[in-house]
Amino acid sequence: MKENKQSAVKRLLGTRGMGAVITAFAGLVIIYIAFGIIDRNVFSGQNVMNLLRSMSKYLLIGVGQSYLLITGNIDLSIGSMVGMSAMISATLMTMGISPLIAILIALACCLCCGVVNGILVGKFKLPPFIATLGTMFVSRGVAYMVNNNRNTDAIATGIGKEAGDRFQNFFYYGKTLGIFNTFWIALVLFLVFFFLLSKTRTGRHIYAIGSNVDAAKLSGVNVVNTTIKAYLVSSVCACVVGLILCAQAGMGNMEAGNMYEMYGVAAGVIGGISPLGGTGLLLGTFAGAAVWQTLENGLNMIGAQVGIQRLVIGIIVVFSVLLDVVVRSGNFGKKSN
Amino acid sequence: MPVKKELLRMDHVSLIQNGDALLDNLNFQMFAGEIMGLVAGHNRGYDQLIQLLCRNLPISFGTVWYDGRTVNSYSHSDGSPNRVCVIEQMSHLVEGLSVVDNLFVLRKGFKKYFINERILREQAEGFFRENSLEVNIRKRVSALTPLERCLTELGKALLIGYKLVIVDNPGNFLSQYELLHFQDMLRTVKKNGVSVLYIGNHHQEVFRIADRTSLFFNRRIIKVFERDEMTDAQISPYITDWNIPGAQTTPDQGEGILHFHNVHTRNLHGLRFVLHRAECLTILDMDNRIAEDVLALLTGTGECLRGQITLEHEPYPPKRAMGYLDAGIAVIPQDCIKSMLFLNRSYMENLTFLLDRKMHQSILPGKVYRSIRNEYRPLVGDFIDESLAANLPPAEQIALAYYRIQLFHPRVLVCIQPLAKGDMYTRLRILALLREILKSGTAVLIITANVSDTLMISDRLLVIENGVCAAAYDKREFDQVDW
Repeated sequence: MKENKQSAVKRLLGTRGMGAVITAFAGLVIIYIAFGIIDRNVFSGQNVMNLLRSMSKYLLIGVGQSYLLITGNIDLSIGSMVGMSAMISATLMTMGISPLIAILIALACCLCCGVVNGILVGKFKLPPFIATLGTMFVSRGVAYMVNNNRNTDAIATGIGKEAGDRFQNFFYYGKTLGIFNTFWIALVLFLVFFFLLSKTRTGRHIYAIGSNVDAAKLSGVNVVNTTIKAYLVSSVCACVVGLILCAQAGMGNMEAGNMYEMYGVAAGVIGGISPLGGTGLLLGTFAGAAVWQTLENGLNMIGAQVGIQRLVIGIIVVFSVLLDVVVRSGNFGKKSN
Repeated sequence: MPVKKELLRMDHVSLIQNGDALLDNLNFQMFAGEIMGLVAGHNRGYDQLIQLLCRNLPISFGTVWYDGRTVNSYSHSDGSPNRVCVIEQMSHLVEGLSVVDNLFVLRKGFKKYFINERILREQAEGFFRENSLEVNIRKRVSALTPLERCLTELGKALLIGYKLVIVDNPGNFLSQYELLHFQDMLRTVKKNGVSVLYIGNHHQEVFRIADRTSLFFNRRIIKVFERDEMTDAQISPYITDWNIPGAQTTPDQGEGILHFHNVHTRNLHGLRFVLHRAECLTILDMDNRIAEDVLALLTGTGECLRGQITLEHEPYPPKRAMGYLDAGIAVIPQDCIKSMLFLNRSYMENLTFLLDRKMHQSILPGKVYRSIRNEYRPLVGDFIDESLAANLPPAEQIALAYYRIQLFHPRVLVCIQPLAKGDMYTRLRILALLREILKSGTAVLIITANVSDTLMISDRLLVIENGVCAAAYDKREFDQVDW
């Protein structure tokens, strides 16, 4: 029995990508403790709750972006889709349409963007950077146009205070078992997508495409469909984050989700998802999002300027990618020729 | 008898990397103006040998002389390149530029800032004519045929003044006719004092052209065959283990699984054959052109212009061929490591990649994995626990591709040049694996441009010339034909 347990632990630690995940979690603990020593309020229960809620957005965006990074692609439109989702749902609700229908319409719009991205990249072989750059502008354009180039009024003006509160509580302000609902939503989606990636055929196909697309094709993997599925995951995540931002503000903001595509990439690569495709664990994205949010939260609490915050986070992202490239090339500690 | 001038000598060269001896007390000598053959019995250290010929990388012991001077020794290696040209499957030319640009502009020492294309073209035409190199120099490199590409690389080597040309397995990427032409060119080049190191997987091919042949085995050159020694009888003591394990299977004599009925494509002009269950049919493609067409037809990326393909007597149109794995057809392309394996995934993930398709389940139960692991552990040993397929030795990587197919158990397996890569032992293992696959009832179709060793497991041979069957042989007729 003991031997079985040992071998299970050994197998878990031997899982490829687990090293990066453990490193990211270790980094998280060190950062958290370091900030906690500087300011004791970092350890307070209230701060931990806020931390979990704030990291949920990065976690979801990170999950969506990680799916694409694993396939060897990227989605630059994910941030704009967040804005589009927030604006569409808020605009509909201010028009008195039921939140559920507003959510479904926002989701449908995001899924359409995901399908378009997937087709452009998977079927028409457009470079993902260019294809999603295009849809990034389109989505942001829709976000602007949906309410005639201005932010929406409070959603409660359309659906009433009670329904508006219910919507806001469900996505942002409410708590279940003492933890904000935002975190539960993110956790449930994370677990669903974690299972999809690690335990199902689709997940294996996603890794296969990122690892060796020719081999994947020859092994009967439908590259177009799998690419579309990855972009759909990303659009679902973007939509939910848009709803969270809408609930947080109680209104639609045209600039919601600005730069989130890069936050997603950062959460992924800090957690060991390789931007070259084919490797990485979604658990790492969890750690990456937590590291990101802890840094932001900690730097805020000790009064660091925004510039310093960006600088530190930027260095960490570059360092993470550098580590991935060095480990992949096997050049660590070797003299270059 | 004229005194031979020595071009290259590697004297007691040893190379140890990470405690692993890759070259062990290797002695190798080449004279100016000779064609030296090189046959690898075992690939261990073989890549390093070629690298050392091209570049003076650090060695652990010994000395290397090239063109009259010491270029590398255990005491000093400067990492400088030797004036050596390698012609191999991978092109060393810039695809998007013209032949003339590749010859002149992309050359060390080309100093002109403004390029006069007319003058360069005239110079190139004169040079190619003088050396009897038949290449259309106005073409872009991407539009050249494999033979033209090889001749251009050869021309570039001559223009730069290289004295040693390494030719790595040209039989893998040239057709039989192109190969003969290229070999003639190598003989011409030799007369001009340039040496050629001709590397071949098949000793028969090397013996045809070489003046001497070195046998590389177990990290050193163990024998140099002189002209009069280059016979099957002389080399056989060194390859005595060349027996494929397992008994020869008997093909099913029924109506056959796969039929090609007068199939026409761009390169096929009325191909017809039938493949039976548990039968191994080898197609010798004299023009080295039909493999892509056959693959496209069987995987649904191309369609017949005329004629028909049937699988189990059912028509096999492109729509059905798109799901070729579900139809029971599997493919092992030429470079199976590159085109079949996911090198940053584990051995087990690679091995079981097609299993979900076989079992029609999205989530495979853990007990299935465990059972497969237990079944294959005796065959592959601890490699089965490898978490990164990239860490496997090349022979194990090739075997992994075949094991995946064996596990999938297709009705028809199409192999493109299966023996193009690897040393004698790897090829032997591939043949043994193919025999195992045949034993399970799978029909195997081998398409190759070099027939030598595949005949050991083949039941029939078709020779295809200009897209049609020019000759057909049964197993008992194989030894009656002079290949």
